[in-house]
Amino acid sequence: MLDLKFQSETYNKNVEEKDYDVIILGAGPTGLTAGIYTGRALLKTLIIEERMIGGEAASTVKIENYPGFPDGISGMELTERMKKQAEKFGAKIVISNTKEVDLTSKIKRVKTDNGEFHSKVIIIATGSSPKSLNVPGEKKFKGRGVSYCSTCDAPFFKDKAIAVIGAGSSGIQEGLFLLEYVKSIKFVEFLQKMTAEKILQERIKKRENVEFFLNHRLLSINGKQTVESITVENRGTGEKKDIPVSGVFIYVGLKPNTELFKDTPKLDKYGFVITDEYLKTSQDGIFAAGDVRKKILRQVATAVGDGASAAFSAQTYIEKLES
Amino acid sequence: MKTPSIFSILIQQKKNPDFCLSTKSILYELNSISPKINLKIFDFDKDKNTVHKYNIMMPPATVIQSNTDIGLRYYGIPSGYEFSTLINSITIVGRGRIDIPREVREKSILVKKKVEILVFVIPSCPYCPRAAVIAHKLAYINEHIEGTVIEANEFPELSREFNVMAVPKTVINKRHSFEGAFSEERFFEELIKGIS
Repeated sequence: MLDLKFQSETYNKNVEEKDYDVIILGAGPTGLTAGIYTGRALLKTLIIEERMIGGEAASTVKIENYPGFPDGISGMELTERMKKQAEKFGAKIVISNTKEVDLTSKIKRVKTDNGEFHSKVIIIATGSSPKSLNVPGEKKFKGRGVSYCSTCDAPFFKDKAIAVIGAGSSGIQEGLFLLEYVKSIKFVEFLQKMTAEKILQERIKKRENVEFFLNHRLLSINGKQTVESITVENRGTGEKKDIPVSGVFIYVGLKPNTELFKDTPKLDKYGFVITDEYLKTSQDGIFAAGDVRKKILRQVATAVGDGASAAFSAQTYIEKLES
Repeated sequence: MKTPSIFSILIQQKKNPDFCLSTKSILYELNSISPKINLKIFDFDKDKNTVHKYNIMMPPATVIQSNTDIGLRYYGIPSGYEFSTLINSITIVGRGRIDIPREVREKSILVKKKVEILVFVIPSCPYCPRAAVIAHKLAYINEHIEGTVIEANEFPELSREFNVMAVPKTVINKRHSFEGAFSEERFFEELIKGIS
């Protein structure tokens, strides 16, 4: 059976309307959930996505800790279902670059490549992106041995030795996927122990073709035309070591997608949006939810909770405006 | 769709037979659900005139066109996320209009040099359709631009020739390349670098 996964073309034709009750920036699990809730509240809702419906979650091979799917589910399938649900309740989705936002006026304005849209409320659900390490060689070899997407690039490292930087849940989960292609993996972890979910740690430890360099810092990625090795440093002893690898997959955390917001709303020192328990930001009528906001755990399960809460707060805000 | 799309595929059984059969199967199924798609199948070995006319490098190749060839090519099985590329490209041709920022459209119309865009993709890459569809949009807008999408795993020699180690990888006129799924504006800026 063919799975019809339409992306940009089919969306943008439906967004000639410019005025909305709620604009949601970002169509990851957070934004889509918010769209489901604002749609069900009969609020006129537009979701604007810059890159890909489903966000970072869509590129996750398998999500095993989202309730309701005991056998796990691919990130794309899960977010595809969320998208359909949001659209079912009336949310419109546009894929477009957001160039500028005016968050301080009573009527909020969002300027995109597809024109300007207006709303009473904005929910920021722009999520986060994989963080770079900024070590020598990382930029030079990006696309020539350095990758941040295992589902995209794993086939190019078939039967090769690679390194995965970061032994958190993302690093180990993606490493398990990469092992279907590669000969071996050297995991390099800055901390003294793995921080991945225990179940993932158990799985990876059972594999023979993996080696762990815990409490090690990645110093450089080396090679001529393509990646040939990495240099790591033992943070305890200071000993340095060159490890021959053909590829480096980096999973060292996330940076918030908040470049669009300069002084408003208030961000923490890492760039995450500061919210209160109602997911209100420092700016009236602006809410933030999901990975983009300051919080302790960034998972699909917490993202959807945030989306629902932000939508409820947005609804309450609009009701007060109109009372 | 307002305009019927003529939709052609070049099949050869000797080389890449599995890829050809899978492609044929997908296209037949698609054709069965939309009477507006006109599907024609050609044999890479026997239909030399067609192969020459469309300048087909290798099978399986899918050409998406309206009444005339507008330079939209897909090499490989349009499966996984790449099925959305196929659908989007058919939709572009069928609707006869595309969603693209006005500035990019206006600038791209002014390109008078021949531009060959190669976009390397793989079916499990969620970011790839974005680059692939932009290449097809630009090809649709300007007759001097050709948009060719290539499934990197199925054509390893070509992938090696262009040092493909990450997707989507876009190559402009065989001399400028970039990795990643960019916006239409950024994609067009890179295109200009490749022809300047």
